[in-house]
Amino acid sequence: MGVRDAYFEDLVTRVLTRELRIVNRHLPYKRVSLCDLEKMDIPYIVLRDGTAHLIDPRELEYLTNLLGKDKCKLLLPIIIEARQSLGEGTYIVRDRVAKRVIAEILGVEYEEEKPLIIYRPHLYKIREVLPTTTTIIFSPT
Amino acid sequence: MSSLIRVRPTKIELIRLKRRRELARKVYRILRERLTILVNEFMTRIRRAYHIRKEINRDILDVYNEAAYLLGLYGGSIYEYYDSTAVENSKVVIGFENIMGVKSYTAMMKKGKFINTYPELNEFRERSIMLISRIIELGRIEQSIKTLGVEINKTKRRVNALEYIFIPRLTSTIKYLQMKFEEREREEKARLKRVKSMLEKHRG
Repeated sequence: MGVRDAYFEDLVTRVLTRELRIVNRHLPYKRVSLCDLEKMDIPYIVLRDGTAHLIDPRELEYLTNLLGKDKCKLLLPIIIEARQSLGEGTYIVRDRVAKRVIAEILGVEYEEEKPLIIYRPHLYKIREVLPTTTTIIFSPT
Repeated sequence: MSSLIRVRPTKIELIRLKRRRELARKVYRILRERLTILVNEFMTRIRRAYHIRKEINRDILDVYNEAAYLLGLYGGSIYEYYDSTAVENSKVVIGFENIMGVKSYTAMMKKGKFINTYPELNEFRERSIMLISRIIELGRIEQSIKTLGVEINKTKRRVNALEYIFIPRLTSTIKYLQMKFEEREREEKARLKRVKSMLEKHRG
């Protein structure tokens, strides 16, 4: 194997590893509660890549109406996990209050102790209703 | 383009290639998932942009007619009066929106505060603010469509490169190395057998 080939192969491996690393850079640096976001003049969340992600106040209003007095317990953005081990097109929601929000939107039942498993059409529906307050995390395992 | 990667035929290299293939498959699965979601986001936004554009086209004429009506009723000074009744002007906030790692410009309107005046003027103000906020939303969605389109193209290229070039090439190289090792093993066995028979002949 020539030096050039070895360099190329190493480069490809590095690029692949980097791809895995950067695929989740849209996750928040720190999640913020719905109450705190409502208090902000312009609601935003700081992401891992350093950008400030603006949140639509109409979505906050919608979530407030949906949750009522539990609104301060909800941390935003709602994280939906795409786990490879579950198979393609299957997603998990682990957060307790977020599970309630998602179940209300989809009109499905959920169990308090178990994570809520949703499928791709459900995800599309959720993203349509809450485009700025939900985010998807890609897990390679 | 060769379908094999030039590597030294060693076991270490085979292990390294297998690891690389596993990594490539992981990345491929994640990127494909991301691509599917991005395409869906793109389609949703296109549908939404279409509806908003339709609504704007419908509302813009009504607002224009209403403005002409107010002008006819109260005269040219109505717009100065309109301006003077604003306690706090409406603002447009520009920032970023991150859609699955795609950074796109976004804007949102913060409605100002106004003094209540004539009912017609109030209604006109409400409708015009609504129209402007819709136009801003349309701009935001169209901007995100553009950025998503570019990202979809990039991701698609990566997914295709992994699916049709990188993973098959790794697979064929691994297969080639495995065949080579098997052949070596067979040769080794044959050689041992020959040596054994020669030794037996020599002894006999």
